[in-house]
Amino acid sequence: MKVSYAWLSELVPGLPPAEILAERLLHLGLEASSIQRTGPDFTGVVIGEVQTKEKHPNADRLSLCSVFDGTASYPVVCGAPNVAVGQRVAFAKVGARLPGDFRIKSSKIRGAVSEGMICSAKELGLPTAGPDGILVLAADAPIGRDFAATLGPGDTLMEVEVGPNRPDCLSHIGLARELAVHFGTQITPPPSPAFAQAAGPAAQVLALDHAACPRYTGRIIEAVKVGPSPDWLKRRLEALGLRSINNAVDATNYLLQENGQPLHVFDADKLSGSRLEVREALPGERLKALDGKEYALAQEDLVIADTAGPVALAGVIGGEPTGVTESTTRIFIECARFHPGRVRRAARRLGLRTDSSVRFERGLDPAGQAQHADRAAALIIQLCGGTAGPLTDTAHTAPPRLLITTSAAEINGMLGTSHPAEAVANILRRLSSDLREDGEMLSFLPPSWRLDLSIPEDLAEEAARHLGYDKIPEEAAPARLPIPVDLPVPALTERLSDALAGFGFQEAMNYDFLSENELGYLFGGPSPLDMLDGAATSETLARLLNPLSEDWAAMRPTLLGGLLRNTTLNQNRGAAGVRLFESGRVFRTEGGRVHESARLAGVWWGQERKHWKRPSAAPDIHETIGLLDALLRGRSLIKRPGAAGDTLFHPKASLTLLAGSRVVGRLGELHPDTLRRWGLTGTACAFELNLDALVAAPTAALRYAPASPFPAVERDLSVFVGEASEFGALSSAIEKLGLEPLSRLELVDVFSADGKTSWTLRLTFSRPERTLTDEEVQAAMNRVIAAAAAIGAAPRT
Amino acid sequence: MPEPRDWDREWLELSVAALDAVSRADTLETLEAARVEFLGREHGRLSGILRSLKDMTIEERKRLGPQANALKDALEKSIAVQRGKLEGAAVTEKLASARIDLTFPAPPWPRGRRHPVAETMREMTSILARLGFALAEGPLVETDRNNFEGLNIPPDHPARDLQDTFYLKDLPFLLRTHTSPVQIRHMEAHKAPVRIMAPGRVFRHEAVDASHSAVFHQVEGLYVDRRVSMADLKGTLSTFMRGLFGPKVNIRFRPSFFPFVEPGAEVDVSCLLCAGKGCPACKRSGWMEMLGAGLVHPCVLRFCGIDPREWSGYAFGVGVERIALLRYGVPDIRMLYENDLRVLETLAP
Repeated sequence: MKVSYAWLSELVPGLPPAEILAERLLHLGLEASSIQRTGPDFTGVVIGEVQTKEKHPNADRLSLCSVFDGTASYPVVCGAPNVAVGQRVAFAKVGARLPGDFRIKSSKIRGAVSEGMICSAKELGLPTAGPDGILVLAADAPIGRDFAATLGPGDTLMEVEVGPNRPDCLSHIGLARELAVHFGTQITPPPSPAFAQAAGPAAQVLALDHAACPRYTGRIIEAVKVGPSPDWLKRRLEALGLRSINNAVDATNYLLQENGQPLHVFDADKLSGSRLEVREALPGERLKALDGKEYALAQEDLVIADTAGPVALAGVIGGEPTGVTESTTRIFIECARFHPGRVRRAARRLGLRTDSSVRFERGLDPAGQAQHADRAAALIIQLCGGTAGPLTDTAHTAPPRLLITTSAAEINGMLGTSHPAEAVANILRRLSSDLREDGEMLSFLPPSWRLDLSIPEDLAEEAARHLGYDKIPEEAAPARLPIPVDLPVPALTERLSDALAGFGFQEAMNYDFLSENELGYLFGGPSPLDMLDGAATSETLARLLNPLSEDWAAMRPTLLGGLLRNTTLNQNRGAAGVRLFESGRVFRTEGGRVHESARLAGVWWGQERKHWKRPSAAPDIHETIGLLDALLRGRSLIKRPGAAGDTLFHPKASLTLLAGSRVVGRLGELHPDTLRRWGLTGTACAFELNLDALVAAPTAALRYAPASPFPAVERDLSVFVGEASEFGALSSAIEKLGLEPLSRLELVDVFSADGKTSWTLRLTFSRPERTLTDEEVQAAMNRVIAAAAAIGAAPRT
Repeated sequence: MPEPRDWDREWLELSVAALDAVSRADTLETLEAARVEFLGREHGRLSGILRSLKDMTIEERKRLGPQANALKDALEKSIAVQRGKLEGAAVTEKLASARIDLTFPAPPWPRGRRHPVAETMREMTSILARLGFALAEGPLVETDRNNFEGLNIPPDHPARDLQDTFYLKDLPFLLRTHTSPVQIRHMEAHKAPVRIMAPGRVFRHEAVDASHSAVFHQVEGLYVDRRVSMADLKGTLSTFMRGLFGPKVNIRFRPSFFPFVEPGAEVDVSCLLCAGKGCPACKRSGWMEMLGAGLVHPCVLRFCGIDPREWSGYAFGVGVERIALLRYGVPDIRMLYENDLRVLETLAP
């Protein structure tokens, strides 16, 4: 809220300077986010009269003037084209100080003496509405008067951030009350002259729904003269950034800033029929509002209606046809209280956040309407003349205020402070005229405008705010400590993430959303995507009702979308090789619920830059299997070849990982179509793990196993294999032999020539309790050779 | 009968010849040849003598046996010494002729990095873990009940303006706007006492710019026990912030409003860049806004089935990205989510 320091000072005597006040407000929880001085920031400028004007002898664009300040004339060189004889001007005499600490000195300009300066509005730091050039004052401006003095005193404007819990601070009186409590002073309410009230029947207003409109008051003022507002009123409104409209409307805007009660003035002669009604809008009703726009109303909107239809959207904005203009002679002033939620919903739906709606939705002082209605009538009569009719008032019931019972000890206990009981009671006494003290017991009746006070904790905050949050000591008490158990999924995520970083993968973080395009890239094929915990289709996507942009079409069903986007970005920015991983949640809808699953995924694309010392390794399926084997060591997982219809992964170079029958992950080369759609060149590998499934997978318990002190024996065996041979067939044939001393089987070389392929196996034999004999090893090798031959792998001799 | 051998002369000659051969050996090969000549198992001259001992008389054996063994020991020792000398000389020579260009570019070892936000979050949770907070988690897709109502933010409450919300299409869910729903979930499930931290993602429906992200991370803390006070909260947060930013950092509390705490506080830390002297980063105030905190509102405790007359607690929530931005000097929060490797590589050791 914009706050005028000058206005506040009128209401609270003895305020500290604005900067200090801002600091106090900060510590009351009312941060002044900006402080801005307004008004004249210059001295030594008087009103002068241009007596003569001649061309400067040595410069075409300059004039040589003489300016009279009431006692003497001074030669002044002026560069403005609009200077003319007879003008009253702002004349900065020698010694004057202009904004920016610019001092006027006697000088010679192109050989002509200049004793002062005729100022433009800009040079004086004043708002410039008129044409360029010097500021021309009214013809009757008093020559010789200090110009700053004629502008009135300056002010300091503060933008004060008021939290949603403190609607009572959304006005100058409200803030003044807060400061009076803080400084232990009293506020000086603005004078409100008494006015005579005509007898007779009051205007009729029907407000049947007490919940929607707990109170509606109104009054007709007859025989008003609507016209421009006086200068003081204009200045005050303009200072707060409000446009002056006419004296009647300005009065309502002014009072909103003064006491926070939104008011509305109707031209009573333009209201149809003999009574107003507060009701819900009827189907098809529209309102042409004061902002010039026409709004289609919804039935839940609360409106003020005459017999012809809505004349205002309750609490939000008035209607244009019934607005007060210069031709208005009878005014109906509305001063009401509407249901905060109703006002809020209407304002939000129509995107109409007004000074009025903000205050209604946060809550008004329920006891204020009658008093504010009188204040409104008094000010309008003061400004527009006229006579007041009787007050219409639909209801008087304010919600009951609840007594809060507490004690200084309880408050100190919550705060951890040791404020003297009297200091605490003193703050509560200043806050409410109704504090009963019974021994240690404090019974506090909140003032009607403090809607936020209802429990002892609220009073603890009040005491803390006014006595100082800085008085709360830093004293961590001994705590009852929970058993430090890890959550399995976060713990696994951390371990695997650190391992992947060790393998050279950079962690990425993406938003949880994919664009329509990206969803298209993922769902490019006809089959649903295997998303590790059920198939994902465009039907199972969780979509947003109110996405920020098209990029946020749906919540990600896989982490790979974001990683592929990142990979493409890095490729296009010149990266040679990309290894990225990410952990996070993916989303899938199922039976009206959203299923979240913890994932870890990685993408490996491109070749590292060629280096004299390193062969350039390209991502391929075998490297990726090795990566996952290393990452997931110790878990007994089954590898199943990828499916033929897969559209994300390469159907022949991918695997599904299972724990028992549950899918825990996928890995492999990406489908060429996937690469093409994402704009990636070359090959790329990827993996995605379902961590919720993985933590549930059994892991081998870690047990000590002795290392054999006896040397192991290594034997190599080269075999020729057919084109369709699978290594798995050979290795399982060897494994099936159950050779006890065989401790390791490796493939150390693959060699193809003349249409023949040879594999070189390296077999390691050892026993924990003794050295093997040559005969034993040879016997084992013979069995291996036989087993290999049995599946068509002939030993190379 | 053959002339009796002149053992003493033979012996003397052998000793001199052997030690001479060893000391004259100037390569490992000649040294090995000398060893074989004298100590070789088959034809070594000394070995021959030792072997012939068994044919001698007892007197001769008694006299020559120890002599021969002593010579053998001496010879072995001197061979070892000579070998050491020669090997040392060989290494020295090899080193002298070696030419290694140390300015040749070294091959890069692949070294991945954690994301700066993950790294920052881990540091925060690690400090809180040492302060005895247990990890808790909750889903990102939440109900209005857990995200708002249970936290004392009923429908149409103006406080909802502070946290503009993403809603799901066709489903009665939203994306959590803060990590505070974990408070509700945890307290409902476990009742009091509770001492948890809940790091995680949150979502705000607001325009993304250099300092605002619609997706960001928070670390939530919650402690419910008997007689928990603001002083307890302040002390704990002071320790937390000093653990995170260094022992010289100070904190201050300012009154603030969050519907789920009462009293509520905004917590500032002394400016990390100017140490409180005043600089553009702290708008010359010497302080930086860091987190929101307060005593758990009795309505929240009651909502979770915890009797506020018996239990009280504090809660706090810290944004992670802001700290990461400050820490690494990143000018734009969006850079954290773009995943440009050239940028990320600068943001971790």
